[in-house]
Amino acid sequence: MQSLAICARLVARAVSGTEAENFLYNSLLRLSTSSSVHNSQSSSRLAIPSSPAITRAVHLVTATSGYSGHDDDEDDKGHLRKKKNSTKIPRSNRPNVNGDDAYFVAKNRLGDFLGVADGVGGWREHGIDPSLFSSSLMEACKSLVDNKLIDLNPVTLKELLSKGYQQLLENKQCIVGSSTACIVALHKEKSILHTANLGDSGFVIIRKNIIVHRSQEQQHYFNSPFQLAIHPAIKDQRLIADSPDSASITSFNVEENDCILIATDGLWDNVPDSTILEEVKKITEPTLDNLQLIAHALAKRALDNGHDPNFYSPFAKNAKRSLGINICGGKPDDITVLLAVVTSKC
Amino acid sequence: MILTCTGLYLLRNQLVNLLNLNDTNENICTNDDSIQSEILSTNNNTLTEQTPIAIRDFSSQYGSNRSDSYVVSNICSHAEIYPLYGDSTHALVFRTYGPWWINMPSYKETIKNFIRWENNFTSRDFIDIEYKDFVYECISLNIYETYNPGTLEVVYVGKEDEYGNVTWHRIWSFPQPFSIILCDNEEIFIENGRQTIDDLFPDHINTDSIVPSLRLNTDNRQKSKFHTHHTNPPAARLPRIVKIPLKDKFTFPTRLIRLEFDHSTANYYSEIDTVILSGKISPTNSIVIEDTQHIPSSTTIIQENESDEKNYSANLTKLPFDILFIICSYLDLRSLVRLSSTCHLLHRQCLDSLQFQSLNLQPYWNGITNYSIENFFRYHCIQTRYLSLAWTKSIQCSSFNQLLNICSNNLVQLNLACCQYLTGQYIKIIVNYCPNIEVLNLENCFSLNNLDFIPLKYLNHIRILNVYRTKIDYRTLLPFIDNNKKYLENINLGSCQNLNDPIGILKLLFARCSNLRSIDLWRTCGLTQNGFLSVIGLPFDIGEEKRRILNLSKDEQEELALIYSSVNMPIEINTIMHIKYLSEVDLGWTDPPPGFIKSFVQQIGHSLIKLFLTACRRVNNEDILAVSEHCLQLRQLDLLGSSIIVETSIESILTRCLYLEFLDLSFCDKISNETLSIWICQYKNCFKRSYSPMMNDDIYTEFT
Repeated sequence: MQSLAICARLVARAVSGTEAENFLYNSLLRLSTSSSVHNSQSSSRLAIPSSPAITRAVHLVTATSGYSGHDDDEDDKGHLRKKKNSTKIPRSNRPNVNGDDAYFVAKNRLGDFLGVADGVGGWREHGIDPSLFSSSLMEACKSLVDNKLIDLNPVTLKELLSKGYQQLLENKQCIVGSSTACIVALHKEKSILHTANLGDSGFVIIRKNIIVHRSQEQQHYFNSPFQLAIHPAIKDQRLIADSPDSASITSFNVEENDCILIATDGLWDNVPDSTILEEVKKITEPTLDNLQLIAHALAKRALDNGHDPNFYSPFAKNAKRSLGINICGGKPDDITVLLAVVTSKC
Repeated sequence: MILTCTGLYLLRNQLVNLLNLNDTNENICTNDDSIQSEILSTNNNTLTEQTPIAIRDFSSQYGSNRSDSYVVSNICSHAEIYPLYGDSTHALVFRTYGPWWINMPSYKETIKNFIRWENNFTSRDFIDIEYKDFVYECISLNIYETYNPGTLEVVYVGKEDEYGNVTWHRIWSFPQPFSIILCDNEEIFIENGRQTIDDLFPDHINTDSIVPSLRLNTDNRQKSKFHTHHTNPPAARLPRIVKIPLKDKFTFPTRLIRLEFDHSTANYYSEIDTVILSGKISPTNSIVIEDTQHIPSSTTIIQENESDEKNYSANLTKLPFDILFIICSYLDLRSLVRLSSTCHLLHRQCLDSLQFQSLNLQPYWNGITNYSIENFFRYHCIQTRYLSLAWTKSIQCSSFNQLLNICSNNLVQLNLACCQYLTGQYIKIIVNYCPNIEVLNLENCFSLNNLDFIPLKYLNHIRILNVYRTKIDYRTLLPFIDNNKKYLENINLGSCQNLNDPIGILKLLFARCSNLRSIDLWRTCGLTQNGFLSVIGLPFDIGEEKRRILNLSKDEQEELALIYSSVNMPIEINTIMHIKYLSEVDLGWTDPPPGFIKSFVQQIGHSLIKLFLTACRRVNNEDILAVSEHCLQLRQLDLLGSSIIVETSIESILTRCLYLEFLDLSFCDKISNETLSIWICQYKNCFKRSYSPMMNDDIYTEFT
């Protein structure tokens, strides 16, 4: 941990520049026709009895959706692939995983917790399944929320991230990889949304069709976000390893019917804010089914835009702004979308 | 005649009370059935299932102090792993298992002087659990065993008085009846403790083909070297709930449970998900009944003893002292005291101080009180050389003082493992009275702070020091190592997370202690890459070494400089070849850099019999090839969690290290199960292979 921080070297999100280009000209990744929609962990089922307290306890109704950008199972277009990707990494079928992305939805007596993590795909080059790190991190966080968490205050989520990361280091299994992470938690009594974000996953809070609060993207340079990492035995000058302490934390007072959208960069790079607002506006009543529809629609939009070579995506805009290069098209990537609404109804 | 008899009874009673040695599990109430049923009918409160809220005390754990992985406090939650089966970070895991630690020379050395045969006591680890609410009427205790089950040895319940003092009552011990609940809710009653596959699945499996694979990794030769009640490995490797019946076993309200485990025949770490206490939590009137059975039951014992005495005493007392002495030396302490309370002659002869030359009170941890020390042991420990007070609960400083004062110069070995009552005052007493101590065990004395240990540096005959999981630091250890450099053989610094200058300590150990035989650095914090290189004579960055010291606080820097100059700390080490006998090394979870192991074994590998590199993720194939080349005596090798070691490296270990009996390849990604099964046929079955929790509902998969 200490040594990781000290010898923090850089690795790009898509390890090599050439690979990044491949992303751009969408030859590397193929549209996954068979990607599944992950159904929600229906937190709405766990009803909280309305307490006689003055402030009504709030909770989240959460829907999740996502697509995997790397569908290794089909090989019909295998010839499009680069050689270095030719070695297949056995991918275990974990729940709550979309490609290299992972997420969790948890609830305890303090409130509701949502988190997403985007495993860094460059690890495939080293023969390592990138989703192992992200999904283990999310599992560790979920387990901590379920069993260990005793308080929820502005720094809790940073500690949660730190402890989750620590658990990965202490696992007997050597979990190699790196990942961004974004966790939010709704304090059910105080109606405060605490957040912690590290890297380029993120969240927005939408109130009455306006984005009232959003996460700050953390990047070392263009397309190489901050990331938690474990790579004990791999020497690579490009490796990035950030400390969980560098996560940015915020606390925000939410109101009933506020929409919270948490997603990996698969969404943020491909769907502009206007489209997000347009979709979220469609929620008439915050039922789980409605949310599920919208979450799915957003994920689908991201998927389609990502594979549209003519779409001027937020990713292309950022490339123009940061590097001054003119590119067009979306960025095909794994997509994970968690859409939640603050409600006091049971 | 009547007078002497009553005198004897009184004497005997007094002795028994002194030692509190009579079994407390006999106070089962039988005569109050009517009252109980009455309570049941009048009080219809429902059963409550409680999960633990805190761990009061424990003996060891796999995880580190500040973490949540593999630590005992993991049982303070609902079942998380069950009904999966496997090696989980969320389980309670003790530090050791099986015969592998017990049969190492360093451990044997610590027990060889405790010659009295205490065959009833086989517990190796314990945990004291606290629940939120007092349970007034206990029904059962459900232990969720999710990996290598079947190691539970004893169950105690604690009775708290109004001052918070706890007395522990043994209410169950293996192999008394219990039940096992499997995933399909089938409850199997086990009467005689037998838990072999035949017992559980008599019709399902052809046992001939099972037996060899069931014994996977459990070497019978290993097992024959120690005593255990768990002679068979537990049967099916299935997740299961062990249900210990508590109904009507005791009558006081309790919220404290103590579990003791004997995992000495387990194939791998036994892991527990949670421990659920079920019973009624609102008070009933049943408390009134308590303690009425105690006195009658002990009188019956006395009467039995009396009849025995009539038959045999005549012969026994005629024996010459030396013969009687030898006979007595074969008795466990409880029997010895019982025998001594039969008549004056035997009392005099049995309790001769030579009988107490080695005194292991760990089996009687529950009965060792200030009273027993002041009124019994104080008078008999004049010759005591080897003393164990391990696991004892609360000995006052004054009693401790008296006891060690009596032993004084004679005392050579002192075991105070898990004695949470120790303070700095106790350490001073040890150092003041017992300057000749050679073997000192302060394992898991977590209540002592770093400055409490300082007097230990004045001891100068120490051969064996065990300070596992304590807060000892460089202030004590550096001068201590220098003072004991000629003698020091075994040192256990495992899980010491506040050493502050582990590199300096290691450097001094390797530079000065030529007699070093075993060193345990399991999860020792703060060993840097540069530090590792510097302690065995590899080129290192002196600048970084200086920066490391500059990172300490100002006070500590000054103190360290002072200590360095007083022990004449070497700046560089050229070689560690002078350590000729080093045989056991545990570097688990310390992360040595690549190349360290290679150079290490090149210099001193010839005598290594145990090398633990658990989760040392950077140890590479070159290191392992060097191990195969230089460590021909190697018996135990742990490479758990390496993602870079490949099959050819292991193959060279297998072909060259012919004495290998233990090789942990769990979570080694580059080594396939298929190759492993080929190796088992080709070489021998010395492998350990753990796996993450999974659904294991088909028992056949485990045994084919």
